[in-house]
Amino acid sequence: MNQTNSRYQFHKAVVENELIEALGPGKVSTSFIDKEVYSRDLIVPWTCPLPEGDCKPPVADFIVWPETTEEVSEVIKIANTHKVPVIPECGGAQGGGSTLPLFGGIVIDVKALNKIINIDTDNHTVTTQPGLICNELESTLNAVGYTMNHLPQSQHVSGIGGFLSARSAGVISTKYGKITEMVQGMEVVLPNGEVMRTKAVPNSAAGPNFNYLFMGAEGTLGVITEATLRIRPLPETRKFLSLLFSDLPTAMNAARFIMRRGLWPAAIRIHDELETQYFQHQDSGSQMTLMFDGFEELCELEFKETMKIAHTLKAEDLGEGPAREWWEKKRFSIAFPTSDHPLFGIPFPGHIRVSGCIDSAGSFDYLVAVQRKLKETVEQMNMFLAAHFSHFYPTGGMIYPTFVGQLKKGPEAVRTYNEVWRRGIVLSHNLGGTINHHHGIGLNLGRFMKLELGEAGLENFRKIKHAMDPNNIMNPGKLGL
Amino acid sequence: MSDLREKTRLCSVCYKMCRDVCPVAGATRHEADSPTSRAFFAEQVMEEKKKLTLEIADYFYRCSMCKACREACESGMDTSEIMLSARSELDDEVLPEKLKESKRRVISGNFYEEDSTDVKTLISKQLAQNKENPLFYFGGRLRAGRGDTIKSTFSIMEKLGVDFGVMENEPATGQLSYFLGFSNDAKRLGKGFAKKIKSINPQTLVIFSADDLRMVKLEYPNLGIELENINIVSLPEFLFDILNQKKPSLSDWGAGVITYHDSCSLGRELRVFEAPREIIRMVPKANLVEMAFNKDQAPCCGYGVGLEITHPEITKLMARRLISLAEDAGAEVMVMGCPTCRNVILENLGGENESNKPKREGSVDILDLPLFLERILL
Repeated sequence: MNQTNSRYQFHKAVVENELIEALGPGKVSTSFIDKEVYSRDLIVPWTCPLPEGDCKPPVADFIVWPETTEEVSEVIKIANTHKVPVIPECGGAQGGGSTLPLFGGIVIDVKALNKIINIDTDNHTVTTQPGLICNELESTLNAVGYTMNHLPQSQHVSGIGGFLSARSAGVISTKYGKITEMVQGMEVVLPNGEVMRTKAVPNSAAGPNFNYLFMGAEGTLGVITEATLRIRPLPETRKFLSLLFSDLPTAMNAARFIMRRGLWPAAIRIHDELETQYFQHQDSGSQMTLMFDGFEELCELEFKETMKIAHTLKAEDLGEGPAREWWEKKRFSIAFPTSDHPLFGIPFPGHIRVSGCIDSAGSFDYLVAVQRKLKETVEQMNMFLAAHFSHFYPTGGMIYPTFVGQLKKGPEAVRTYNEVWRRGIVLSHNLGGTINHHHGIGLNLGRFMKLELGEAGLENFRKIKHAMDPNNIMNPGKLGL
Repeated sequence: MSDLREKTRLCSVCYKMCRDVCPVAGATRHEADSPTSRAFFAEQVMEEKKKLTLEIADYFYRCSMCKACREACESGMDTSEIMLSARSELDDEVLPEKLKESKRRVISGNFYEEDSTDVKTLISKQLAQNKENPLFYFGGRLRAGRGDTIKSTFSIMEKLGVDFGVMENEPATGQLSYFLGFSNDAKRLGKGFAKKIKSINPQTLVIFSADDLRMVKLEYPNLGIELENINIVSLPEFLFDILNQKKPSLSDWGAGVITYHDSCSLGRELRVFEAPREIIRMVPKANLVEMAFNKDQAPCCGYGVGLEITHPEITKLMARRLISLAEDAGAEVMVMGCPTCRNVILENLGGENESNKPKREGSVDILDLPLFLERILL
């Protein structure tokens, strides 16, 4: 709706009236402050070197705070009638532009859908609206002795709906899986305003699993309005271990053997040589951080078996200190942008500091190969790359490679920044990895979705989108659609 | 200022790791109320990227000054500091409408005006005469209110055999003026407060309202106001000491699930966390449970040292959220260390009559420490 002619202004007034009629005036805003706030995410202005003043982010027309599924449905029906874009948002902490209102329209802040519907400790589920910040839900579960075990670094920022929409992963996903593995059932308001529910059951063979249609869709196929998720009792104990290996390939072999042995540490984190040096303050090598949780005997057994593997690979036992410190003090550390760490220093005058995380996933072999090649690629562009590997599966894992550099302000900075991403993503793809593990696609990576899905895959995704959302109102311009 | 500018810029582009603990954002669910957004607009105005409009000026008052964001921030950023700095720069014509209307009363130090009739009668019986006795400072909000806390205080002191004194007319500490950005007026009021207290010269001054105590203990030194040689204590600490000295018999009334609300000023600012909890633990069979956000993360009740004046609609949402947190913890009783918190909750959730309970189904019984003790002291 980014037009300025009088017909458009009239149309906007009509939409506003209908939204107020449906929700009430307190749940609809056209204020300057709200529109500004909901029209930025973490892609702007820090990590992306947009030339200041030359390129303002797009601005939403309306912000709404529905509190019920019915109210969400009303909003979407109004949007459909008037062909107005709808952008669901649940935290706005995504760094790839997935919630930017590229074509104006209605931002639905789902945080007002913040009711916990049922905590079922007998059957180990919680049913909740999607608008709770993760820590709000987790703290409430903890008070009754349970946990969701979905503890991402953004636990204090992001909401449940955002996690589902971006296929989020928490720091103990190695044992408990990503959010996608925790979902039993969902309720979704479709792009035509109809409400669809998937059954909240442990598993099913009744056709495709429709939860997976909406998880990762980043709001392009509807608005998630309820979810039933698995919960577990809080662990009786946690055990910590830190190991130093001679180099990254050896540390990766340790992860490979741990998973092959059938051990399930809650967390395995491997730091590449640069991270080991800068953040773990070791002279050389590759550090592994482990955390086991559950009941005492289980943790003890997993610990002993892991130590056998470590011994075989000649790892140095650093004790529990660094691992415990990570869990208790550093796992929410963002070290950026307020950090005084030398890696993140204030840039030279006239320059801007840029960074990005080209996270991907693949086999154990892939992980080492992509770290080495990415490092070369980034260093060729006068930046540096530090990586860790923090989510493991029996067949491989995830790499979290952060590039950091400083660029002279101006249009060339934008081109250079985009080129780092392009080279990194193409490399990940060519080596056999996915183009993203858990941060989502949004705007920043949309142009690479053809690589990920293939031509036929993307074309059929577009057909699905068109069939469900013929007016293309749901979060247009994202996921490469 | 340049340091504050740089901090504000960095805060404005952060990943919002403090958002879940901001009580305003938690209650309104609005992204604009997250601390990072506050820093964003402050930075935009400071750097003249945006004009200071009435809307933005009003927005600078949508902060409860509770400093929960500072505790959550890895770098210790405090957006209330940014907001306070912004408020102090504003001219009268851009003040929020509700503040324009009430500024005269705020800076006069007599915002709540008359003491209630019940309070006047009680106070007249206990005027300070002996400086050996502790001097109780209730604050204007308590004295103008229903008076039940003051009445309970008198009652429990009698049961415990503790002599004390009160002032017929209490001077304001200046906390409202200070946190609403009128620092010169706050300083003037603070000097008046100090002068009056020095004239009585009590050995111990017990300040009931946590925000008054925060003003006197933490802000007066920055304003050059001194109250030397006077032992200034919080209400929970004073009561805890008295109970330990007197060791009274306590009933198990109220035994059940009890939670404690940490006032922002008592807890985060003055670090009084354990004394009130110890008092609750003294009750036979009491089951003390913690709310999801407690101690350093505890949410503001809605008072927000002035937020209640400028944005009463937000205060209502915050009060309701605090009750919800207590309900989620399974509490039957919520004890408040600061009587102001209780008054704010009751007055904003429709409990202004004689009942101690806000009129909500399945609600939690809300008591401050004097009311709580009155029920359990045998």
